[in-house]
Amino acid sequence: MLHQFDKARQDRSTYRSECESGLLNQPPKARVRTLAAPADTMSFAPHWQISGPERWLAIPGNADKVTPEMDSELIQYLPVLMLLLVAVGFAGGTLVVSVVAGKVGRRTRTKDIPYECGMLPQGDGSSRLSVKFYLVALLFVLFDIEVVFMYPWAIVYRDLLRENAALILGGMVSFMGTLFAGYLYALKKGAFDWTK
Amino acid sequence: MNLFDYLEPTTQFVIFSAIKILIVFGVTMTFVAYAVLAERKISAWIQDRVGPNRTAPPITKFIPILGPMLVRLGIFQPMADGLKFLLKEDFTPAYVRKVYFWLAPAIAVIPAFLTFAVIPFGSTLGNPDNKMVIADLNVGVLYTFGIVSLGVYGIVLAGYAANSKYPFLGGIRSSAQMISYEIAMGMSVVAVFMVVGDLNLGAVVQYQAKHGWMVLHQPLAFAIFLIAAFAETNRLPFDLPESESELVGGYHTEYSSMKFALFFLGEYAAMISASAMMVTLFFGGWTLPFLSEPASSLLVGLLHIAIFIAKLVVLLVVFIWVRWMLPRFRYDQLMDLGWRRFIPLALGNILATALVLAFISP
Repeated sequence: MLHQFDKARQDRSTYRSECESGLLNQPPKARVRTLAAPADTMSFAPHWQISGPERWLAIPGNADKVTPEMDSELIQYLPVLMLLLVAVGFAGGTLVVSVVAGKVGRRTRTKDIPYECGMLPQGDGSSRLSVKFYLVALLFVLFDIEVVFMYPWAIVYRDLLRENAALILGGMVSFMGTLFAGYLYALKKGAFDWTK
Repeated sequence: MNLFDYLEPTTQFVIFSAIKILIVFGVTMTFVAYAVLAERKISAWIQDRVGPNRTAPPITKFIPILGPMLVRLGIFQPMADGLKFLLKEDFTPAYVRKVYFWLAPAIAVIPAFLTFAVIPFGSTLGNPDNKMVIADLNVGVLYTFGIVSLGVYGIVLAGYAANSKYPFLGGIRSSAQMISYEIAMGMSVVAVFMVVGDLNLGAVVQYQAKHGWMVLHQPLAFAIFLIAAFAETNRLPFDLPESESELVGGYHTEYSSMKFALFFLGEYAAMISASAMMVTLFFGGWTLPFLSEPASSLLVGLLHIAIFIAKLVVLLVVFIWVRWMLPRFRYDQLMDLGWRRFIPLALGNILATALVLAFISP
C-alpha cells in the first residue's frame, strides 16, 4: 500500500510533467520551491501557505496538526457579520416575496385614510407629546452611560480585591454614591412622577 | 480524512460558522412559529377553549391515527399562518412616510436575530474546537445589550412612519418603556459579572458549572432581569405599546401582510433570545449539575444542546403563562416600577454583592 505521502509525491510528479508539457498554462517555477522539502521528513510549508492546486497535493490530512492563527480578535466578528447578512436577507426577502406573491387589491380613498376606529381622522397624525418623554430620554442617556462604566469595574472587581480592596471598593462606592445623589435629585424634582 | 481538512483554517472557520448560522437561524424561525402556536394553545387551555385544531393539509388524511392527532394539536397551523401572511394584500396607505414605513419592520426583526450570535447553545460538537456558539466574543454581554437597544428603533420608526395617532402614541410609549427598563436590566447583570469576572457568556456558563446556578447566587438580579425582559419585549403585563383596548394595535395599527408579521416575528424572536440570555446567565446554560464537562462525544454534545433547548422552552412557557395570568399595568405604574423601584433595587444589589465579595466570601 502506498503511503499517503508517497502518493502525493507521485501526484505531484505527474502534475509537474503536465506543467512542463504545457497542459497547465501557469509556469511551475514558483511552485517547485515549496515542493523541494525532503521526502522523508514531512517538514513541509503549512499547506495554506502554498497557493494554487498544489495545496491539495502538499500534505494530505495534516491540517489538524497545525495550529492556525485564529486568535485574532477581528475574525471573531466575521460570524456576526454573516448573521447580519442572513437576517437582513431574510427581512428583505420576505418583504419582497409578500409584494410579489400578495394579493393586489383596489386602492380607494376610504382605504387610504388613517385608521381612527372608523371615524374620519381628526387633526394631525403626530401630535405634541408630554415633556415627560423627553425627560426620560435625557435621564436614560445619563444613567445608561453610568451603567456602561460599571461593567469594566465589575469584571476586575474580584481580582483587584486581592490587591487593593480599599481602592476598588471605595472608588465604586463613591461613584455609585454620586450617581445615587443625582438619582435622588431627579426623584425629588418629580422627574419620575407620571401622575401629575 | 475528508475534503474539509484541506481547506485553509479561515475558510474552515467561515464554512463552519455559516453552517452554524443557518442551523441556528432555521431552528429559531421554527421556534418562533411554534411559540405562536404554543401561545394560542396555552391561552386556549387557560381560558378553557380548544384553540387552533383544524388546519389540515390533505396528506393528513392518509396517516391513520397520528394525522388527526397532529391536526387537533394544531401542528400545521404555523405553516398556514405563514402562507397567509405572504399571500395577503400588502397595503401601504397613501399618507405614510414610505421609506420609514418599509424600513421599520425590517429594523424590528433584525436585532432580535442578531442577539443569538453570542449565546452558547451547547458545549462542543465533534472536535473540541467546534464551540457551539456563533461568535465567541470576549465582550459577550456588551454586544447583546448593544443589539437589544437597537430593537427600539424599529418600533419608534414604525410609530413615526405611520403618520397616524395610535401608532405614534404606541411608538412613543414603547421607546420610553424600553429605555427605562434597559437601565434596570443592565444594572441587574452587573452583579452577575462581579461574581463571574468575565463578560464572555461561555465563561459565565463555566462558572455556573463549578459553583452552581447563578439564580441561587443572585436571585434579586434574576427577578429584575426577568421583569425587565418582559418590558423589553413588550409582553404583557407591559404591552402598553400595543395595548389593544386603548391604542387599537399600537405601533403596527397601519401595517398589513408580511410587514405586520415581521413585527410579530421580531417580538417572538426577542422573547426567545431573552429566554436564552436568562438560561445562559442564571440557569447554567447547557449544563446540568451532573453534566457539566464539555462534550467528549457527539452524543453528549447533542445532549447539551437538548438541555439548553429544554431550559429555553420552560422559560418560554413562563413568558406565555404570565401573559394570560396578569392584567396590563397602567403607564404611570410601569414607569414607577422601572425608575423608582428597580433602579434603586439594582444599585443596592450591586452594592450588597460588592460588600459580600469584599468581606464575607472573597
